[in-house]
Amino acid sequence: MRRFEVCLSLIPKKTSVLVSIDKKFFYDVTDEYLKKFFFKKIQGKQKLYFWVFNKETEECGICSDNEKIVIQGGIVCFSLENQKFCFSCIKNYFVFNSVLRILSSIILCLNNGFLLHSAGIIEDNGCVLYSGKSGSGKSTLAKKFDNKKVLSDELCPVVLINKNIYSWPSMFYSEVRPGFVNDNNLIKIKEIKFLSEIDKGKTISVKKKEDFIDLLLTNIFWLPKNKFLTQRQINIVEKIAEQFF
Amino acid sequence: MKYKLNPHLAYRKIGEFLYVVDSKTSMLYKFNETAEIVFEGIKKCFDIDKIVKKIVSEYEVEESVARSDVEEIIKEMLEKNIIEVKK
Repeated sequence: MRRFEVCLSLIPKKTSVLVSIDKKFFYDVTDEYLKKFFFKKIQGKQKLYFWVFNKETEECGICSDNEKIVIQGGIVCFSLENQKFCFSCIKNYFVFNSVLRILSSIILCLNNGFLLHSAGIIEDNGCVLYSGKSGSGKSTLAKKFDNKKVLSDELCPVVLINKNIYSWPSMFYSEVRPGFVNDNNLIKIKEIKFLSEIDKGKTISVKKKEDFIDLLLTNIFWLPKNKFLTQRQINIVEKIAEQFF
Repeated sequence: MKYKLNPHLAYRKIGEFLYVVDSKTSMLYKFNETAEIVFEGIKKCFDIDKIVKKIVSEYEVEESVARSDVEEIIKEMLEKNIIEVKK
């Protein structure tokens, strides 16, 4: 097995994961789009996490039960205390993608952020996220824009840094593949809008902070199994709502 | 009969509601004031009588009405695995 180290950018220029992975496995489970998020070297000074990726689907044998997330075809183990991640999965693009969603979500949560079910669109000097559940019209909306303006039509990262809220081109998409120019920068979120479940494609008018929190909590990508991370996610949602109201 | 909270719950009071998430299933629940009193009572190991007393003292409601509400909420919480019977 020929291992190599690649750097996965999770928060542009701020947080990366150094991944130790079998080279052939890596090329088999990533496509050209996903590879854009992996770099040969760490770019500048960054907060770094470590991820040992095993080809076989087996438990690491070290982490406790509440540090394991089992997905179909893979196991995710993490020790928050040691900032250590060990993930295993079968050689399958979709399973690897699911593992990446969990990894991104955990690391965003540790850094005041989360993944939001939303379509992200670049507008003027920032971006607007249109959040909604599956079938609410995120992809339909994203298709109306040049794909260079689309951050994602499925899951956008959201992070709070110094009282500003940012997103950036997402690793995850559904029907519209983002065609962003790879400048790897944070983009300020000007607004988070919510798509109506009744009137597909239309947005709901949200005037109260409580309603905004309700909708955010309904639409974030929840982390399963870990109470500490779940508690953190609720707290982050409140902090982010405070920036808009 | 006494009850206890599901150990996997994460919760926070935001505005006038208590938001509760079961970290095992990722289910989100939003509690109004009465459900919050029941939840907090169970957290403090109160029995139903003590929870009912608290509701009667805080809101001007008859004991029978409060008891019926509390029993209904507890039934729902048990069904949703938010609480479990304390053995």
